[in-house]
Amino acid sequence: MNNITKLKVLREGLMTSFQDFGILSSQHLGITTSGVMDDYLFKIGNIILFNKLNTPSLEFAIIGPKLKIVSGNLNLVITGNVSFNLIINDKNIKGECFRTYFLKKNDIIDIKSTINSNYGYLCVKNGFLSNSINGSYSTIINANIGANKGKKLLFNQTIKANSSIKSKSYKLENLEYFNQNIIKVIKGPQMNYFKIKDIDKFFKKEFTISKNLNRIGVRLINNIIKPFTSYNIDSEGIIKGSVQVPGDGNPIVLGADHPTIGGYPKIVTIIMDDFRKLIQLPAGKKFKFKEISLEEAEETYFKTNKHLKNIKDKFLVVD
Amino acid sequence: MFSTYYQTSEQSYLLNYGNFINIETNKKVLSHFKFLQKKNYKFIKNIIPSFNKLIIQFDPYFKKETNKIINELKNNDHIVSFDNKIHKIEICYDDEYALDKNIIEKILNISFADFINLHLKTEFHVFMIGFMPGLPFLGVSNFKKNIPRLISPRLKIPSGSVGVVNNLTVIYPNECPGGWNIIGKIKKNLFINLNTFFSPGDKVIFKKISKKYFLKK
Repeated sequence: MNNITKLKVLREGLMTSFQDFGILSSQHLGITTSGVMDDYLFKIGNIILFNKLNTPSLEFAIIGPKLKIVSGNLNLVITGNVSFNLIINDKNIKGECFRTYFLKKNDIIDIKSTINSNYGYLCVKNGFLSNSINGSYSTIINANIGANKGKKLLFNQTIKANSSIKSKSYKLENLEYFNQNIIKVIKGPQMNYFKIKDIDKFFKKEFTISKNLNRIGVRLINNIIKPFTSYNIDSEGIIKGSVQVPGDGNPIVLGADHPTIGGYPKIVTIIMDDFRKLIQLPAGKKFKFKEISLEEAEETYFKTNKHLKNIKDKFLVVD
Repeated sequence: MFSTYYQTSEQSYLLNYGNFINIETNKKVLSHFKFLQKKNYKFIKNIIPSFNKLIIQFDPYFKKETNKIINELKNNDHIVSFDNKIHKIEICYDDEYALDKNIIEKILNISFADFINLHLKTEFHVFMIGFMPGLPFLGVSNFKKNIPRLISPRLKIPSGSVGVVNNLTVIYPNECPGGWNIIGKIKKNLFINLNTFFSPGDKVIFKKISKKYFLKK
């Protein structure tokens, strides 16, 4: 049971990294929280494997990794809208998301791409193994800090996970999730930097997700909004999901690896439950923002957590 | 000590201590920051001090407890004592490192040598660490005019570069993009093994060194 499974990286993917809920109590040192971009998919992956919620997983973006098991066994699940193949016992199988699989030595996980979305997760029973910081296995790639010595997955490297014996296979069906076109927000700390008619336009007109999207932030285009007072504020702490508006008027949604301090006015904050929906929208996708009250945002947060707690009731036994 | 506070998300409060960048206001922010840090509440996930604001990130299931703490802070106007650590940092203002020397001369309408003298005269207060790991925001210098950010930010600022905007100075611990006017470079590594060299509330004095000495070190 205490054995370690080793996986060789045959393809590293576009941006694959170890992530969990993120690094706490470090923002005052300039170290951002990092952590998974889509906490919902990450949690579901761990729930379906009967892991602790915060068990480290591999997050991949657009093009995923190809991994070969060189020793040990693995129960795994891939969450997201993802096209992948498994080679189990030399047999090629088309993979199903939200379904657990058991793999042995020489088996291969080939995560080809995300479909109509940006991020997916490879979770394994009992988690991946790497170095941690402040108790977290997240990776801040642009700062070279965190798991995997601060690096994204590298071609040809060997990664480790806890071995597990074959457990019952489960799957989850009919998860309604992808391609939201309404993103809910609450008022941001500097909404008063904008004219009422511009705030109106912010909510009434569609934005487009630009190609400029990554773990640091997502640039929104096709609905320029300019603050009327000043483009700069006294730099202050910033948080994931905050929408800041730089001088050119194209807003930036702050991602998990955002800088810890920023000097642009912030018009709205995306509610925690909708952040994951926004960052999954592919480049070119159009959407609108909708303002809700803080109380509604809090209710939504509690409701989603409750839904996750009860999700085990929806598991189907596969074999 | 804070005038208003505002919930910016399901899990964060922004406390506002004023709209000025000065040491007095910042010491209020840092006093509350240090107070909370010492208490080490499990449900507080992050505390981020800046010039005149404090962000408190909390577990939404502990909003009541967080509100209680904020009420407590409201009545707490105790300014903590700072260690008053004074760091002497060697800086080289050679043309090779002072990438924006000409801009500074033009904006302030003084020679770069005079600018250096002004910069060396300041005993800097560390307002906060942030933007990137280990980056200190220092102030306050007494330049006669405001120095704006670069119109188009540099894509790559060499690590150790010292930049100014208005009466503030930053030091970039690592290579990164940025819009501050670069006036020199230091050798000291400001971020090692997840530790920052400076802490908010510290003092910094720059000491000018020649390029020859800088390269030798």
